[in-house]
Amino acid sequence: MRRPAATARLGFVLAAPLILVAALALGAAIGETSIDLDVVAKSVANRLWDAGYAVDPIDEGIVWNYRLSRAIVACCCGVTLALSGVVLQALLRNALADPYILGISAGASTGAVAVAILGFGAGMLSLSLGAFVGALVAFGLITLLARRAGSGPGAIILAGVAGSQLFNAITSLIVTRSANAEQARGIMYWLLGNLSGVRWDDAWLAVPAALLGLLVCLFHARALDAFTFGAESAASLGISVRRVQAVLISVAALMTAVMVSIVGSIGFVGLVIPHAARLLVGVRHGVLLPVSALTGAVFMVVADVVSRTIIPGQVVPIGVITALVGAPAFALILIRGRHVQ
Amino acid sequence: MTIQARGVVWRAGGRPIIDEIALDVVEHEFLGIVGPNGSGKTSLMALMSGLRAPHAGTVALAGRSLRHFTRREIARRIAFVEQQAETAERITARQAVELGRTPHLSALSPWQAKDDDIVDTALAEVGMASFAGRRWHTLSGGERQRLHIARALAQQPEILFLDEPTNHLDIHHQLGLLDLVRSRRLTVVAALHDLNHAAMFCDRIAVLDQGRLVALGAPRDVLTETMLADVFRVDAAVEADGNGNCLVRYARPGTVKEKCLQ
Repeated sequence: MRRPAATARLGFVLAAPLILVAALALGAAIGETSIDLDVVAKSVANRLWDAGYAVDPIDEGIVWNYRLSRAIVACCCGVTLALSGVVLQALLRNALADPYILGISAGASTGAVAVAILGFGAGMLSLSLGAFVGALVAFGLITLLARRAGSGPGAIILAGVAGSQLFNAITSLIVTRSANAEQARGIMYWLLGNLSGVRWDDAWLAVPAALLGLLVCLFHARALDAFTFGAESAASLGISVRRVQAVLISVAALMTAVMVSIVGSIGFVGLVIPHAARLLVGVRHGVLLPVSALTGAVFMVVADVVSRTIIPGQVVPIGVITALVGAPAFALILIRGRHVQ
Repeated sequence: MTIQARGVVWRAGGRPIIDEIALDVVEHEFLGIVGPNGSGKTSLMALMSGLRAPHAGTVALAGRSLRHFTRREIARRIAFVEQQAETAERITARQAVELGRTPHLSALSPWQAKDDDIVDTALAEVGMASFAGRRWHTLSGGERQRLHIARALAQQPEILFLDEPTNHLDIHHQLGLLDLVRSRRLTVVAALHDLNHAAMFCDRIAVLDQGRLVALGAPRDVLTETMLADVFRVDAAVEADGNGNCLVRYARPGTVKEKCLQ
């Protein structure tokens, strides 16, 4: 089996932005009041280039201030979660690894809530920073626990479950102890994974995080391939195992943390998307990473549209939608994994 | 290219696993490392190939300490085939071999037609060319092992480390694989279980016992009845054939003792 020809790669590079733009346009068009695609295009042109098209200002406001920023953040969220999933699955050599299942998201939530309520600094950046610290602490604790719990692919997943429970409990403790009723309701809703209230400020944080993550991961694509037969084998292929692990896990934690600080912890995307992408294009990370990122982006925009439209007049937290898709997929992977072994 | 180990020590849990070993690997030789289970064969191979850093002593590659090489520089010169490296990824046989090109590529130096040729050659050399498109999990243990060797060959190393390379193979493939490795102009260091295979293919044999190097030399000098009794705790007769090779013939445990008692 030869690697995909250069033309296929070129095709992807050209098609990916088009697919992304189409997804964003649909994300902006579909909703409680549906807006025509040409109105969406004109609104964006008005805002970007002062094009001066005659568009209902209310429609333009909805498209620009509300839906487009939200769709962009959803895209970034899909990209980062999918990339984190690919990286964790490759480095831990575990088909079930994902930032949510491993408790990284829970740790990030705790970090973010600690900053938001206990008030270590303020503002979006410190919220993300708190989430980043929480994510790293959680991952450190969970790998330590997994190492103590013994070998086998199950150990780190069980450690992740224990870690998630612990950090969720700490989060609840902080919230119940220190937040007022309104704060508490807001935070609980946010913890479920929620894109409501996302604005352009959030997009300016999410886009660089997603792009940086994508670049760092792509740069390490061959290193990730080298982990196919484990860390020892990667080392014998010339990979600085410790450095690659440190860089990529930090990047995965950073991406997860930024997204958690904006939209809360959204489950299963990091698990499901990489597996779907592998079915499409195989296991080579040079191809798998960009395809996972694109699939994740599109999936999240669609999930967001579904979450806004499935119950008329109400918005379901997007984490609920992803879990409804993701949990059965988790079960499928579990069953198939048994056959492989 | 030569490797010199000087006073190499490696400990685990406070206990020396490798204890003050000095060993020179000569260019283009086939060096066998033998010893009972837990004698430190795998550890010594990991230390000499730079996968682990010794707690004391040095390992030098062509006169320069391995500490001064990057992992990548080492991997362009030394390939290592582990005992049992497995994966649950749905990779193809060819993709497993392609991994061998990793130390020669980077994010900025892409895969080229030359790399395809090297992979093709490596697959053909281990007789797996027709399996190239097969998925890893559909292959037998022996086929997987041959692909690991092919991956190491695709690395185009000057020195090849093999940790019990013939574990999963039937006798035809065991001999074929050792012969293949032997026929390349490579320096080979192989941990071997089968002493007769070691005698057949190795230029020299190093015998490890409890982390120490207890014998080193040509097979017929090293594989003696006394050594087999002391290190491997077996009774055996060593016969020499006309070509200067030797053959170990094991006695059933207990039979010699009973004879003595009679």
